[in-house]
Amino acid sequence: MITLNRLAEILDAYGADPDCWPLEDRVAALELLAQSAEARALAHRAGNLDALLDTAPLTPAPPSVADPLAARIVAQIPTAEILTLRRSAKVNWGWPNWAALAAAAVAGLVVGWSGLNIGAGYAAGSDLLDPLAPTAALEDILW
Amino acid sequence: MRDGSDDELMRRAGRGDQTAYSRLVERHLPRAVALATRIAGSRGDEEEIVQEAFLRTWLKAPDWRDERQPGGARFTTWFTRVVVNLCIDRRRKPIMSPLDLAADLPSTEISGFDTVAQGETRNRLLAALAALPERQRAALTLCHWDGMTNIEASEVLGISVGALESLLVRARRTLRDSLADLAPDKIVPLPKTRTMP
Repeated sequence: MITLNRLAEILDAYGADPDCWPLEDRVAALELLAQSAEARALAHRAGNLDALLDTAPLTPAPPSVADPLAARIVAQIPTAEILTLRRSAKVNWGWPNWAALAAAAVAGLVVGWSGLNIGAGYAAGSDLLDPLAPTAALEDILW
Repeated sequence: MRDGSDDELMRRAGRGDQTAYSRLVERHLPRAVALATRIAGSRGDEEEIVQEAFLRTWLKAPDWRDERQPGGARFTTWFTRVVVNLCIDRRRKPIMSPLDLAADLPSTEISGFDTVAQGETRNRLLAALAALPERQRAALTLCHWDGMTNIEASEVLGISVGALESLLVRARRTLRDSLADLAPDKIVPLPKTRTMP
């Protein structure tokens, strides 16, 4: 026997049709339904939602849609040459990305270092930029 | 040969057999479009999603391993996972509100045979569905409308059965709350076609 809570979960997940319930729970759930009016009320509620969902069945695409689409798909099969190009493009993309990443990291370091130095230069000549200037102690550490 | 198992067609496609690939496309495309339309939220890009999914199928074919091989999979499970993941990726780039989505439903979602009441109910439902988080919508689509078992759907979504159940519970509770004013007597159920042919 399963609990009413578990039956409510099953009904909320799979609806009121026992064929859709998990196999391991089916027999116990049916037993509870046979014994409990509350369980039957829950099943009735789930059945109402099933009926609502069944107003929008999943209909396969009709031939007027499927046939031309199928023809386009088959006509667009990549040739062996294109597949080879795709594969080599994948290989070629791999390592420039690493190179670009490394180059960006180096460029970031260079810009970062020189940026501090530029800030110090401005600080010498302008009171407005003073808050951006590194302290003398920091300059000593960096340079 | 016109027929053959999905695995056999994949193996032949992997050797460059375009006829086998074409057969796979014919076999799985109608369902793929329906799934993409429902899960991607009817944004009109379901055809692009399906095209991309089949391109990935062609690229995968030379290395295909069926479920009996180590690291292999059932074709339907693998292909559905590709479609669902593409839908979820697209969906993370929102371009329309749920109401826009409901107003712009493609012809595969509403047929000319609907009564007005059915059309209104379905529009409300699809708008509420479009407002769900994408993984909840995918879980509900696979389990309720596509007829997958909880084990199959959890494999497609790459989650445990418990996590799938949690997604389903949240999806259905949200829909029940947001559509509470649709009394059962206003609901006109269609003939039951839960499992796709």
